[in-house]
Amino acid sequence: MQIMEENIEETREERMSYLINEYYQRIYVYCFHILRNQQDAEDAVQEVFIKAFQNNKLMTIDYYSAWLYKIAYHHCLNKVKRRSFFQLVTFDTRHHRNVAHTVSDDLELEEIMCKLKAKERALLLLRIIEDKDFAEIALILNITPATARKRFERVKEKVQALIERGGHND
Amino acid sequence: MTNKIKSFQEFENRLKQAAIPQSSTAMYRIRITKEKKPFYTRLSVVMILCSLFITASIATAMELRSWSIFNKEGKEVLSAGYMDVQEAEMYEDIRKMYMRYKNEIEELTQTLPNGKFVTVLLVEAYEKYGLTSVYSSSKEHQIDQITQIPQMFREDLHLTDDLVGENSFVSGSIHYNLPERTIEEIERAHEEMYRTAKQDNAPYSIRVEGEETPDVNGVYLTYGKETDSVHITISEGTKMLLSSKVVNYQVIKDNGVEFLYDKESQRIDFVKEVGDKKYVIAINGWKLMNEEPTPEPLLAVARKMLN
Repeated sequence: MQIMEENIEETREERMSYLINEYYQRIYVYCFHILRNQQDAEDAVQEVFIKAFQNNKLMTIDYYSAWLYKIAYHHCLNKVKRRSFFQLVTFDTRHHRNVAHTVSDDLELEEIMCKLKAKERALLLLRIIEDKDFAEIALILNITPATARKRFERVKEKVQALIERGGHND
Repeated sequence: MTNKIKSFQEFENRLKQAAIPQSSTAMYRIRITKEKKPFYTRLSVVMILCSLFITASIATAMELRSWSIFNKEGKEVLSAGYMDVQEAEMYEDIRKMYMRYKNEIEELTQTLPNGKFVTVLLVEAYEKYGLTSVYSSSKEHQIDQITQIPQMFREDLHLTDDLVGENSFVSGSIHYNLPERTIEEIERAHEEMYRTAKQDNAPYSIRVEGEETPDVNGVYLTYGKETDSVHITISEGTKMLLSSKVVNYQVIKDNGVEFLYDKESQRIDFVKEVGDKKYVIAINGWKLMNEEPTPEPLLAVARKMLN
């Protein structure tokens, strides 16, 4: 019995190692875009993989990509929620400043991203960076593909409005 | 790159090209394969405690002008507002200084025995901002049963496993008050820490000390999981939870009690008075994220806590 348990544990670690090789950087980028902060994203991606490692579904799940993104999505939104409860320095000011210093030299882009909610950024990322279709996005966000499409269109409209206003700096 | 973005297409292209800071995969891989037990977000521990400390310290100094909550008798029970820009920048500056040493500080905080607390003085911050920049924190006490919350606190707020209906209690954390000290005692202790750090040419000084008091300072509770989760934050006393989203609040009156409701984050804030005690409560639920948000599910929980 002891030997069996050790074998199972070893297999879990092997599978986890595969997932880390395959998805670590992508999940990190995803977390980063939701949280807009490198340190938070580094913490988050660790926690996402630990959650995956501890999850009973690790050895039985068929569709790893959607599963990991789903864990990351909920984990990051919870972090944002908790941050909004406890952080005294306003989120907008804080992450805007961090973005300017550490994220990208594309200030125009960053200003637009700052104006979006975490959920909206997550959706944009899945569609634009990860190039996922609405069926997969729906699976990750636990909604129907039609709702995913509708939400994406709404976010797109919001981005367009921000561009037209030219006022990402309001 | 500072060119104006002219279309969504251009936005898409620039988003794809945006440089993302790299993460050190190898280091994390070692940690993950070795780690068998859940660990708690070290960053969150420091930031939460730091925030609680800062909140307490500025509560009396800041200008309160944005909103108020009144009780049934029409008496103001809570009011809050924004820090001015300079003050916010100061705290942000202090936070950034601490972030450079967050790993060491968090490691230490995590290994603290229950009840002990740690005081951290960062030389650079202390020289620039003095007393304000020094903070004390303790490890949050994790709980997995509602009965682990001290009885009086639990009873005052009617905290039960099924407070949020079908979303039963999952986990939580409790913060206890640190012992009160006079300003002179605090100043003396900080000066000593500062001198020690300077003598050792160290960037910071950390002192593990004292015992927390048994008085609950705040409680954070999670009911349900993932999309169904509901989070409740309760702070005792006059401390306030501030948010940049204050302006989005709408005031809701229910049976004479005022609530602040933020539709965007599905959150309500309110105050419960028990005798001369005041509990500031925030309930946040994303349960309805796929539907049109309404305050009713949050109010239902609030009513149970108020009755």
